[in-house]
Amino acid sequence: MMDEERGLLIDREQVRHIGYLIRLALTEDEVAMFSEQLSGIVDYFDLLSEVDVSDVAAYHQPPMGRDRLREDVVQPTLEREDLLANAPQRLGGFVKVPVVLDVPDGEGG
Amino acid sequence: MTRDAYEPVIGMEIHAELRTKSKMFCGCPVVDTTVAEPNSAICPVCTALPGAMPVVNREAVAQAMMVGLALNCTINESSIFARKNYFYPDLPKGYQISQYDFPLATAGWIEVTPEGGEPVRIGITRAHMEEDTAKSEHYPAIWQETDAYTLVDFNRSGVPLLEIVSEPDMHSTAEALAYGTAIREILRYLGVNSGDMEKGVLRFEANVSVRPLGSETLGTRTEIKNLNSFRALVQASEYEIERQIGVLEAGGQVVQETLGWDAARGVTYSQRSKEHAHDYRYFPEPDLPPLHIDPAWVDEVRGALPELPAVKYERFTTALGLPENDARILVGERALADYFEAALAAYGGDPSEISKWVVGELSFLMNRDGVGIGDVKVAPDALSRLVTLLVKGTINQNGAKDVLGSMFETGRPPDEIVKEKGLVQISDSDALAAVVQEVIDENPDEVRTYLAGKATLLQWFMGQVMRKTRGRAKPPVVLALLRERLGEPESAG
Amino acid sequence: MDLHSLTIRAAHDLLREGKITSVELTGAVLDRIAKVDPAVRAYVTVCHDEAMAEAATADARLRSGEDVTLLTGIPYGVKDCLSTNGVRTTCSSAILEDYVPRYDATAISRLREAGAVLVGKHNMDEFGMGSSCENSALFNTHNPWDLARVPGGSSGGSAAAVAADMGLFSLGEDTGGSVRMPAGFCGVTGLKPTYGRVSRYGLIALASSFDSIGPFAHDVRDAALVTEVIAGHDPMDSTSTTAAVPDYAACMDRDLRGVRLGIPEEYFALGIDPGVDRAVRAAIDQLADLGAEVVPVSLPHTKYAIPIYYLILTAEASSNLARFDGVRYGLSLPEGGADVIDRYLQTRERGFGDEVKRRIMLGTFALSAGYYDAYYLRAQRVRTLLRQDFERAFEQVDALIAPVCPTTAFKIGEKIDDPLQMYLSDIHVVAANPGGVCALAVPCGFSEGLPVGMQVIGPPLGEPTVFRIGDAYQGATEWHLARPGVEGMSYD
Repeated sequence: MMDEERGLLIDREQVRHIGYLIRLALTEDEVAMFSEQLSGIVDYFDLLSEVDVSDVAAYHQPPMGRDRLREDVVQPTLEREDLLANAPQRLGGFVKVPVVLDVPDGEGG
Repeated sequence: MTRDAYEPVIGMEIHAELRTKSKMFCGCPVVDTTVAEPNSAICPVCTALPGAMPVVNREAVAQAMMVGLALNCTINESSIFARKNYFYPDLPKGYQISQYDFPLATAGWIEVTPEGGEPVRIGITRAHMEEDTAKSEHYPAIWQETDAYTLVDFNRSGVPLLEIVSEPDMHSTAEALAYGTAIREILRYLGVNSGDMEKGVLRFEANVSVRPLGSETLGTRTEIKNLNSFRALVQASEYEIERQIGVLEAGGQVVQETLGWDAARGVTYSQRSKEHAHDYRYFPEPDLPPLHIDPAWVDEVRGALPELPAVKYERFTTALGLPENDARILVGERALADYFEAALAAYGGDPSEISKWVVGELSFLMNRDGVGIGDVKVAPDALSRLVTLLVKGTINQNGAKDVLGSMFETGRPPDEIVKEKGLVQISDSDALAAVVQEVIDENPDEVRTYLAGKATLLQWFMGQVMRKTRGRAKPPVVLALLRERLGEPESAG
Repeated sequence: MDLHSLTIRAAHDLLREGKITSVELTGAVLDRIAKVDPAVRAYVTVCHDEAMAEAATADARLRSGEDVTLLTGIPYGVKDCLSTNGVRTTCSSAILEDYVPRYDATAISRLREAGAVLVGKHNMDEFGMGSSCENSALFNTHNPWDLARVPGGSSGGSAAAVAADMGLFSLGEDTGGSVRMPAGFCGVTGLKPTYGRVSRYGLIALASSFDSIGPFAHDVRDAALVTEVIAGHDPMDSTSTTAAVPDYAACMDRDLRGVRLGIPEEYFALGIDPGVDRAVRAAIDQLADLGAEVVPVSLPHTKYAIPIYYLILTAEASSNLARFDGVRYGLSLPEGGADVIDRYLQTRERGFGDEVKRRIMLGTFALSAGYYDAYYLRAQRVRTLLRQDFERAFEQVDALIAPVCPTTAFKIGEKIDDPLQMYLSDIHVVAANPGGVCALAVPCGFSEGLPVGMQVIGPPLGEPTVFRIGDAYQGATEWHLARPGVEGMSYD
């Protein structure tokens, strides 16, 4: 399933890409270290490829029916202060963050 | 010329907030985020405090099912919530709980009729449930005072959203407009969405591509996001179609990208992300077991569906014989249609007599005063009584208008007002004959002009009689008397 | 009488009879912490004043005789990944070092309602990622039996606290052995309940489909008693089971005739220390003496347990930890200026330790486009086979017996350099969580002065069975009565 080429399964470029996906400002030393470590770990995990799963469904929890859903009633909320007191930055009733330059990857609307 | 050689292909994604009392995954109230105090409807779940967990709102599922059924979809017995992972300050968990491989509803359709066109069937690929994000407002830097910053309000975070995805079955902006209108109407009919786009409860996205006429393959498409009005939908789509044709004509290729619509400048603009393609890394939400919807529940929801606009229109025009325009107006707002039917039920006569007054004078008064049908003081059976009085001849047209005006202000019953204003029509021939004669005697010049051939003066004489009787004369009687006493005018050549 | 070393049941009797008060008992535990924790370092936060206030309230309840439960007035501590209202909750991570929750986890609420007295929060591997507590961003915890050694992880602090009598019980959390392993290393009893048995609401999530909150105590009866209080359906947790909570005390029966025990051959083929092997086999013989029938069974997919476990865990964790972004709580860098992406990048880079970064990157890889099918999805499919292994085994036997770890507690610093080696040492414990089963760890001997732990693994909702077997074992042995002589020890 992995590329034929010999070399690290997860190379530095990939580590940088993954690092950005989860917003870690990795140093170059870290990139090198993680590339090696993750490659070794994933190499070991390739053990799973020897299992025949052609007839096997992915595991799902037992489903929940109508009765396990929540009734549409309003419950007590948190006080605004509960949220804002822990917020690193606030302004008035809002949580404040440094400017958002990037466009959302995909908003709800 | 060139434009006609191309066929636009449009698909739409519509996000509709559902009208539940509480949020999709927690018990916070769903509030009007344009007026509520910021961060006043929040809890550990919708602000993603460590350790919080989602619980699905049953009513949101029921409302989603209603929409799916109204759009002729299959409601899937098993559907799975999934995490859509990305970072943004208005997404507190760093993922949105949505549905991916196994949505609630699939494979539906609706029929829409674009203006001046033929009915066309638009396929609905899927409808799935998800949660809305928080709201963020961006503030630019003020030189030497503050850096640019963003403020976040979590009131909207977690509000139930239904995403409705159409097939790319639309081939003109007129069709897209008709589709968007029809979806909005259905959502309002079901009572699951107010349709108030200015409040952001309903949002459009258009996927636009073009291809040479006759081609079977799809061209590269762009996605125009955040179209928050029908106007924006139409203008942005039109612009984008033109732009893409221009690109192709110049020998270039359309780039697949996400676009925004700049209404002020009338252009679409690229919203290409800073770097890296999107990788949402969807996987099944481990905090929510798969949702099982038993067929009995589907039947229950189906049985409770109100009559939908298309069906109602058909019934109003065919079974009730209403004029098309009246039917269209009544169907356009479910509450108005319900009002009409209540009045009709009390009336028991020709439906178009009632519809005429509802879409005519009553609507005029509602618009004049900005009163919605839910707030009018005229009860349906009171309107019905008024029409009865008119049709029976107790009052005349003008009198009825006058009475309705009073009913509208005061909510008092028509009989009371008619009596109080002394509007009972004078139909007695002898009484009216005296007045008619008076008018004839007082206006010899006009009589001469009339008899000389100006037939339209008959209306003027009628007006004079009405003045004298303070609008209470019964027009047909007056007319007959006038003709009798004036004689026939000379025919015009 | 050393109040701090009482069992819950013994303490309860004394409290009910008015022979001691909760204030005395809690005070004794707090004194014990002051004396012994500088060496053991189990506690991140000790809530001295709150605890004494809760103890006083408990005393009023006990005096009135109304609404008294078995846990009223009993002091306990909790792994620092459970939300405690008003009490700092860090997950032993720099990113939450000063975070104070404004709500209680359901398990905590239930203990509060029962009148138990919260004494403090325990050190752990950062976000539960580790098997030794060495991945804590704050400090190491030391095994009370040998301060130069690890207590196990990730609930190392919670196990060490009970072992050293710094709390009559504690709550830990087991995602892939995180209760059982430290229970084994520290010589105490620990339970990983069936997934969904105890509500996860308020538990700071690691792997949402594995995490199980479970108690540490000195014996099975105490552990069962705590489990009964915290277990039960919670409408705030959609994955919590609606199955009724049995009267666990009534399930105890020290005669094991009719009980069939399975010995999974794959578990004993894995390079186990001779001392550990000896102690576990002796325990099996002891169970046979009590009447149990012992048969070999096979769990053929055991060798895939580690990849299955780590692929799913890291995938879920990579998503669960996305909320730590410096926006609404926790560490936030850099202060002022820059754009929000910088905020994310710097906060998470500095706020997460290496093991956390490693795992969330691994998880992101497993979910990413082009790799999802081969890694995450495949792991979920082989997981089905793993579960079927257990189902088939439990058709033949009532419970499985296995070691908790191939070794006893290793030295601090010994294993930390090779992440894959660390993962591989979890082989006996990782299968239970993806497998959906329950598992009880009880002390079963010593090897070179260090405790050896044994697992009693039961089917889903099989707590009554594993409690019965573990309790019967403890009725016939005394390993669980041993205590480390930790006073006077110092770590240098």
